[in-house]
Amino acid sequence: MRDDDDDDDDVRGSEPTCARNTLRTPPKKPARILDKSIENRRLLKWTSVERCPTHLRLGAGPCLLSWKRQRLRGDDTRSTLTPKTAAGRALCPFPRRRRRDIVLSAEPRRGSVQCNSHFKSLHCSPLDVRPCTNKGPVACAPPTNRCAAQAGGHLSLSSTAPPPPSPSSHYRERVSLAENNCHSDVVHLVVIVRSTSLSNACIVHSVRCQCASSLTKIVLPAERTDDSARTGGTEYDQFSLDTAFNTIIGDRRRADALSTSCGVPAQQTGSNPQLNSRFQRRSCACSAHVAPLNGKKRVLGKQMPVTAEKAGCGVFGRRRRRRDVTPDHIDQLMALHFGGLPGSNTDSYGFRKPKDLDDEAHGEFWSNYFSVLARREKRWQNVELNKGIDLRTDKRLKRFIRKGVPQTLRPTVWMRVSGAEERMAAHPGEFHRLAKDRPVGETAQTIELDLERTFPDNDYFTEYGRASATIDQLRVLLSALACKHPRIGYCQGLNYIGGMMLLVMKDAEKAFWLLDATITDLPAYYVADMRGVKIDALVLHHLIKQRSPELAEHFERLDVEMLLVTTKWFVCWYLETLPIETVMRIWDSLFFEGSKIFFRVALTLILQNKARFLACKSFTSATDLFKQIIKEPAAINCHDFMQNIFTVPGTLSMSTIAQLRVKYQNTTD
Amino acid sequence: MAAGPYNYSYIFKYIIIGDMGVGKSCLLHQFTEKKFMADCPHTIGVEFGTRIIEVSGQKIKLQIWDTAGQERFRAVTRSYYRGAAGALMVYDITRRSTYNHLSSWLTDARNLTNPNTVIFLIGNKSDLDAQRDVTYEEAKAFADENGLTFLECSAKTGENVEDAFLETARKIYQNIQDGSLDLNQADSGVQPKQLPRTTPAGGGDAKQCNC
Repeated sequence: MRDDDDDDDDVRGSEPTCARNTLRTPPKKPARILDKSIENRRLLKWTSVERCPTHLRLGAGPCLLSWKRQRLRGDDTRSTLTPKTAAGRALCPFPRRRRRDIVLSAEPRRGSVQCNSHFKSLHCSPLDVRPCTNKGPVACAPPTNRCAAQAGGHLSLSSTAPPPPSPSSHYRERVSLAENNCHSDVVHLVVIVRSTSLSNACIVHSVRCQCASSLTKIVLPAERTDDSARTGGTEYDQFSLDTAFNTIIGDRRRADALSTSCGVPAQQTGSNPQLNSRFQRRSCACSAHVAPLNGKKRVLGKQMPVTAEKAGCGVFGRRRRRRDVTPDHIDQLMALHFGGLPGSNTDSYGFRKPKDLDDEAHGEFWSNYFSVLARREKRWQNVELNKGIDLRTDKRLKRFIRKGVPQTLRPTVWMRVSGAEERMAAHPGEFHRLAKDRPVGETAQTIELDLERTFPDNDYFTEYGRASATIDQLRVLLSALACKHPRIGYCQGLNYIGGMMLLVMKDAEKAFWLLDATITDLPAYYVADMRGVKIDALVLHHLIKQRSPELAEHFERLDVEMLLVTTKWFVCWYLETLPIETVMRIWDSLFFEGSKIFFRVALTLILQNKARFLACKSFTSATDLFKQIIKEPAAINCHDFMQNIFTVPGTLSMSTIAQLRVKYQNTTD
Repeated sequence: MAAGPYNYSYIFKYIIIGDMGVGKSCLLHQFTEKKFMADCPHTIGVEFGTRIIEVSGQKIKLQIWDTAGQERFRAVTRSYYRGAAGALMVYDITRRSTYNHLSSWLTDARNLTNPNTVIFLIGNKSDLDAQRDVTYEEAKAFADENGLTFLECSAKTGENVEDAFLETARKIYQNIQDGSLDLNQADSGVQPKQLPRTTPAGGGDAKQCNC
């Protein structure tokens, strides 16, 4: 997920494309981390068991802070697995898309860990450690206290604590953990992340954390029972864990630098032949398992000498981007986006989880997206939407809008850029007057019939809870619109758009003027013969033909008319089609750039899947594919998707669209 | 997938038409999923459903087009009638207005499909007998007058839903058998068996249909 800004051009320029797919998340400067780490260790008086967790030293700044806060509060029960930790994923040192099946060591014995991170807010349950036999985790062993785990066996971590009340558990992550204690002085840890979702970084964090504390307690060799030995052993183990993790991350030098500044003598590594050889062995094992990672550790494409100061930031290269993202900010954004109605499992708009949601893709996307949102929000603080300037020609604003308007600013920005604000100012009181005139006859009946069928998956629109208020507002909104536009009256689809606007704008009058301004700009989509929809389907077909004649021909051969799919896409502005956050991002640009955005989205969805469409041999398979592509990770990841819609279809100006509309108007007449 | 999704002799195209809110999508959902969808969103444009059924020992794939009911969407959905082998015309037994509009739906169905298209009249929501607004006898008389087959169904309980879809298929199949439906005709709504594919074509083809 890229979030480039103009002021980051230097960084972007020096970054080859491979960086895009690999390391994404920068750690902090090592010096800073270590300072923090040491400082925290003092501050928080780590006991020999609850030391500063390993991962916190690896650059997870927000985690560290939240850990610190938590510890200071004495909040022991949730361990490190709070939303804050989850949010700290933004700074996880694991590279994106390289995180699957990361094996820290090729040790044969494995246990298993199951973690839940929870829907949307990405909470994680605390983990408990269960004792296991050597043959693997005890199948149905009751969860035991961490401390009860016995030395010598495998450790199995499983989520046993009740999930946090609000989000239901969805993301099932499988993390396998095994531990090798065959040597007396060093604890080796094997973590196998069998994750199908990349949102597990927080779980990796937690596993590390758990391991760090539990291993020192549990697996300390029997002969090291006296206090001094324990302390020594603890430090030593901790160090080896650190190094192991760093090795797998592919940045051995960073690990060394870390160990140097950590107070663990660097020569310890060198001077301990056993340990050293084990590291090497482990490195080999690692490289075998994470071969792609091994060669890519210098993702900047340059064989940069990594010094102790640069280690940890040079490799990831994107330190600047995230530096201004604070954990508090991420917490706020999580609450903003997924703080649904109290006691319900909804997002902030009140939508329950769609049944067919791709949990993995959704989890992965959101775990990365919060930091993007945080940054965008910061950048938007400097944007001034002065009246009197022609906003439509403002290139910077256009770019900013394409990168997404922060949720809190959406009502203001949408009103301003769509021209709805001017309309509202020009017709004071008109909405309230129109709201009193109720349409009669069929229109009123149709509206009434559809009110209860609007967003049945949304808590604001069901009788469940605070429903009636929103439904009443929607009734007023649609009735007023029908009175203002007698030619339109009411058209199915407007209920979704109006409803969504109410959820975003939280003000019926503003929603009304926004809807009014936008449908006036659109071609005749909602009039009695829905001419605009038919014309635009032909325009889309034309645009596909321009870009890929074979695909257009293929659709013709299969008898797949664009009208079949675009009716819903265009009439509902992609609501009830694409995921809600993607739709909101599309709307950001729609209000600024106009209806050509519809074509950009449609072209991107189709052209991105061109090969798959060409492989369809029948009408049914093609229509099935149309249903499928709107649910896939490419559509869920709205940030990348929105970048694609401005690149994949190529140039597309509003004047081209206008010409084509005129051209096809005659064919439909 | 022992039978395989492609192991069928014909594809029949069905179209479901009728006023808004009569339960077209629910009927389709009940037929394809054997479940009642309580909070069914209204259809915009057209949705598709498929199911493989068996008529006289022949496997037939039904490709069902479920259309939007609002009057103005007919401007869009009219183009979907072409090539339908069966048309299910639905009204709501608790709302007389939906029954009154049947003649205009029938006109569309007659004009826009071929003469052999089997038109089946369905009075939906038969579970709500207490709120009945249209009697069975009245609708039966209308059906007989226009040469339609008629059944009252309930998408909620599933009553008669299978029968309506299967009976339509039987009639179409019968038309094929006695030669009144010409398969070579472009808009017959019936496609003979496809050759089973040896390699999965990927993408949408790899996805199984919901039959």
